Amino acid sequence: MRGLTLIEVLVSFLLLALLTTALLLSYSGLLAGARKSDTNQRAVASLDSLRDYWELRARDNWPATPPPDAPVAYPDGTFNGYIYHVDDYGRVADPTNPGGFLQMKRLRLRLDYKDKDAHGQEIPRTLETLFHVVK
Amino acid sequence: MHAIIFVMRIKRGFALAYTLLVAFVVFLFAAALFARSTQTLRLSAQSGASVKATALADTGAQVAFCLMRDNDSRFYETQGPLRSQDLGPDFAPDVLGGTFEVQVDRTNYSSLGLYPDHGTFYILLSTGRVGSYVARTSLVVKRTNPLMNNLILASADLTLSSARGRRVIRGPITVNADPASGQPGDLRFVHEEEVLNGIYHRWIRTGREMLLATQVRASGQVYIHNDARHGLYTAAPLQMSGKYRPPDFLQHQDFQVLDAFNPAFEGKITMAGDVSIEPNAKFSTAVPSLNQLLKSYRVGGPAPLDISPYPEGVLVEFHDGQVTISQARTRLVGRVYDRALALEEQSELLRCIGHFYQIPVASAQSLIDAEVAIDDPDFPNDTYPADLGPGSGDYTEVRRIERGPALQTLALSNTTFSPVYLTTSRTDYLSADGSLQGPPVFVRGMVDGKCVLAYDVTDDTLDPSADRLHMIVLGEHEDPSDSPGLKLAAPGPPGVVGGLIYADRTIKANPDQPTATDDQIVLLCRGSLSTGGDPAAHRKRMHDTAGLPYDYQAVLLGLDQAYSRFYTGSSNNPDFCIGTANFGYWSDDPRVDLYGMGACASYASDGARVTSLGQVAARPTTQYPTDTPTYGSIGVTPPPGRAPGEPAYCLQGLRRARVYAFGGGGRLRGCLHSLVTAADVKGDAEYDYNWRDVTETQLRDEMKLPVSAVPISWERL
Repeated sequence: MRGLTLIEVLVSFLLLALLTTALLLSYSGLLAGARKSDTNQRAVASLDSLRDYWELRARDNWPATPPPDAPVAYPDGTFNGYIYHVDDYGRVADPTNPGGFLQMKRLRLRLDYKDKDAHGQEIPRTLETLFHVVK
Repeated sequence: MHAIIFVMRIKRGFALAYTLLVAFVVFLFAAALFARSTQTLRLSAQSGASVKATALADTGAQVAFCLMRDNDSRFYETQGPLRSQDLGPDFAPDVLGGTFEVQVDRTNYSSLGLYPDHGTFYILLSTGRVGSYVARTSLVVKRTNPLMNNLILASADLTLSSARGRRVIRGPITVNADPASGQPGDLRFVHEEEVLNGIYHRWIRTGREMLLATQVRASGQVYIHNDARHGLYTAAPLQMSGKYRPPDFLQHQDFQVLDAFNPAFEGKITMAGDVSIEPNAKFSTAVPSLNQLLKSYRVGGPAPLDISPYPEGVLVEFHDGQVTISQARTRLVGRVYDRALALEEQSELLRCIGHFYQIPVASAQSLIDAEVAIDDPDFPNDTYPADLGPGSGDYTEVRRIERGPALQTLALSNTTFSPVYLTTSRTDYLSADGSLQGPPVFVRGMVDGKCVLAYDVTDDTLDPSADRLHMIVLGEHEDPSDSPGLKLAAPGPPGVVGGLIYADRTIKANPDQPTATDDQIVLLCRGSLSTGGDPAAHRKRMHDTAGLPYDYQAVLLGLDQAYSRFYTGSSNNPDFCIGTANFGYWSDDPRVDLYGMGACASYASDGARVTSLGQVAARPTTQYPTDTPTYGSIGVTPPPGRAPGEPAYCLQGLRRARVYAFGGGGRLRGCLHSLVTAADVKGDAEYDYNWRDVTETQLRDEMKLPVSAVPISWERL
């Protein structure tokens, strides 16, 4: 066994520097992408929260009349600074019982927000999801 | 540099250590970078599509649950994986924006200890897909009867009393975790109308005598949600999410006799152990109303026994491993005169009146005398017996339920449930307060075996409000001395016990412990389920039919001891004690032991629909006060110096005797959820959790009850 020579140590430092630079470069790119999607992340999180909220609300306000239910569009609301819209399509037909309905409703939630493109220009974006609520 | 090279050459080991150090630093750096990158990548992966995929996974679990709950609990026994594409146009990929697939795991994991009891469980694993995004949701459901799987919290209407006044809460109250209270494990009471915030440290009373828990502490979290709209049942489903372990100890002291001078009577629920239940559970189960539950008996249930021809009702007695149904007869055994009652209550009345009016005892005595002299037109009037002195006054009759001709006898099994189905096609019999009702059903005895006793109308139109049928658990023992000629049950003396008691008592370590016996009884009544028996006040100062003083209370207490000795070898077992009701101005309820589960649609409380024994009155009695009456409200001239609006304090017991509506003080034991580990539920309402052991097969095939799915846990994977 012998110790490392100077040239070997220098080569090791060089390789380490190259590896670190590569990692930093790739991560910084990733970070930049993530920062760019911050707006989108907040919107997605708000969409998720709104969905849970409206699930509870739809359950509490379950229709008293027998199905089928007429579609209901609720007035636009705001949440975390976003404007959202909810459509209630009423109870879902029972797939195993023609003419029957499940004790389950279908709702659509749409969230509108503004994002910025590469030039800093604001562009409108929309997130939308369909979800179901069990009585 | 020369120094370094020198060191490297002469200290060869140092170079290796140096390399290891550098490698360690690089490792730390890479690890930190990896962790941060992973987090960043995960955040970047969250998009609208991921939310949609999660929603689809949820939808799959929900659809599967609905099909089991609303259609057929055995839906998946013949079905393969549930795919959204196969469910029709409402679930087409272009409508949903993706697809879902539900796998059903029917493995019974109970033996592995995964679940706390031995019910029937399914695991539903739903996978939602939107493009390349995949999300999974896991749902565990239990196939059971939701009502049987419930925890009854409050069995009667409640009256909330606070500085703002009184408010009557109709329908059941349930309890859930209260994360907003800041106290881990605090519970929150929930009513179908509202959340009862801030009820801690308030007096909450049912009727006039009972107190609901006002302080709740629990180390775990419990969520029980009741979404009943019309209060047609007195139970609520237990919903759980996340880790689920049974509480090791459960103490329930909801119902205590109110003593305004003793704050120690404040009830409480104490739960220790790890019950982790999500307050915001995904599901709110639609528990079937009792009406729906009973309808299962109308279709494919046991043969009904029509009790319409018996306006005085029927007597259902459990004895010797059998249940015998016979016609009920009432028998006059004595009278209670107002003067006798005044003498009995004298010391208590003097104290209350003296305190209320701030007058000396002598003046209070004159008030009592004045009250006794009032001839109330709602009571019959007669000359006092000799021992009460000269004059005449009001009296009330004391009647007992006698066994008439037998209608049906059924042997019970220790392994399978025997359903007994009583029906009536008449609900137009007149009750004591003038309302209409079906024949009352009186229940008592020692249950040896398994039985479901259901009482229903043949058609819903006969009882649109579900308040005309009454099931009364008799608290008094069959007494040979006051019912001469009554044929006693087969064991001979002492006959059939009062209340409902399990025969197999060898497994219980003590009377307050939930029993592990095979004996089980379920009472289902469309209407009210209450306890009955003459209040102790009437028994103490009674006169027999010949007008002679008769200490009926002493007779019954003697019977208590006889029954207790006969069945337990001890003369003071509380299960056989019927004479321990607190007698006083505030409470003179009889005590009834009831081992079993009871569910009913409504409770007769202040409305006074029936007498304590559900007797049918010969004539309607209306406008009789059931709360603290004033002189004006009962239509009598107030004593000198008193205004018509002032409370007429005297002889409350006698007045209640006339319109007595609920037994109060009922003890409910041996029922509901079994948590396998010891559950000790104390208080006037005592619960045994064995009912959660009931399997789907027992419910459906033996008890003839509908089986549905109840969500037990919900988790997004």
